[in-house]
Amino acid sequence: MSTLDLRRHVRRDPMPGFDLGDVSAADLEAARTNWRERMVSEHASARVFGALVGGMMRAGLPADETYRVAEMVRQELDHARLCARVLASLGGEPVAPMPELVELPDHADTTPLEGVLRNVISIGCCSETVAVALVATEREEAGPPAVRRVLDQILRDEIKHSRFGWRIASRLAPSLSAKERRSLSSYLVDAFAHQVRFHAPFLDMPCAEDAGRAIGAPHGRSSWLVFVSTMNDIVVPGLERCGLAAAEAWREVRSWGRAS
Amino acid sequence: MTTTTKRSKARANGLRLAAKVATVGGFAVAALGLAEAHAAGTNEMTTHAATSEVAATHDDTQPLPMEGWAKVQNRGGDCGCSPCWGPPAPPPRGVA
Repeated sequence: MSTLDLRRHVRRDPMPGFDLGDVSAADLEAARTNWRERMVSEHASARVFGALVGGMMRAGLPADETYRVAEMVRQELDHARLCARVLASLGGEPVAPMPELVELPDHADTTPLEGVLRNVISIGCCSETVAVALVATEREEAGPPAVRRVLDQILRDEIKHSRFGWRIASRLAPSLSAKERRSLSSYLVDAFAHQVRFHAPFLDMPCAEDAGRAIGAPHGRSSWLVFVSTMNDIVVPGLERCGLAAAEAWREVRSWGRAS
Repeated sequence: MTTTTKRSKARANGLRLAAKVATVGGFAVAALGLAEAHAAGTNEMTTHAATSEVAATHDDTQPLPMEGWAKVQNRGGDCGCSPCWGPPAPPPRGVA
C-alpha cells in the first residue's frame, strides 16, 4: 500500500488561514476527514481517466476528445493538491494511505465501441454528474472565500468531465447496433448498482451544522438525497434520451430494496 | 433563513446546475464561466424544476429514498471509506 504525501506541495503553496467561525470540534474533525478523503480520491481518480485513453483509441474516438481526457488526468491531480491545501489550513496533515486501485474493466466481452461507452457512461454521465450536483451544493454553503475558490475550481472541471460523458454518449449511442444497445442497456444495471453502493456510505456520515458545512464537513443525509435525486431526475432521463433503457435498469436496481 | 431551508436551497441549486450540464444544450454551459452558467436560462429549466422542488422540499430527517437496502449492501468507494468526488473505476459486466 502506498502513501500520498502532499506536504511538500502545501509548504510551497500554502492557503492563507481563514476564520473557522463557531465550528464545533466534531465538525472540524469531520471536515478534516472529508478533505483528506477527497485528496486521496481525487488523486486516485486520475488513473481512471488515464485508463480511458486506450479504450477511446481502440474505439476510434476523435483525437480531440482523447486530448481532453488527458487533461482530465491532470485536473484530478490538481484537485488533490487543492484538497491538500484546504486540509492543511484546517490543521490536518496532507498525508494518507492510498486505497487499493481497482483496474478499469476492459469489457472484452463486447465491441470496443460499446466497451468504451460503458466506461464513459459510468464515469462521465453517472459519477461526474453526481459530483457536479454535490460540489455545486456544497459551494452554495461554503463560507470562507478561500474554500469557495477551491470549490469553484473543482466544480469548473467536474462540469467538463460530466459534459464529456453526455457529449460522447449522445453522439455515439445512435450508432450502436441493436445488439450493442441491448447489451449497453443491460450494463446500466451494473453501473447503477455500483453507483448506489459507492454513495451508500453517505447514509452513515455525520450531519454537520451550518458552520461545519461552511468549511466542508459533510451532511450525509443531504448528500444522499442529492445523489438519489441526480440519478432519478438527471442521469436516468438523460440516458433515456440517448436511446438506452435506463429507466428499466434503475427500476430494477430500486426494486432490490423492496425485495429485501 | 433556517438551517433546513438553507440546505434545501443549496441542494436545489446544485441539482439545477447538474441538470443544465447534462442536457444536450448544456454543452455551451461547460464553456461558460461559472457565473454565466448560473445566470443562463434555458427551456430545459422548466423540465428540471421538478427535480429542484423535490430536493428542496424533502425533510431530510424523514426516511430517505432507497435508504433501507442501500445500508445493507456491500459498500465502499475506491478509498474504502466515504464516497468522494473522484470517479471510481466502472464495474465489470455482470457484478450487479
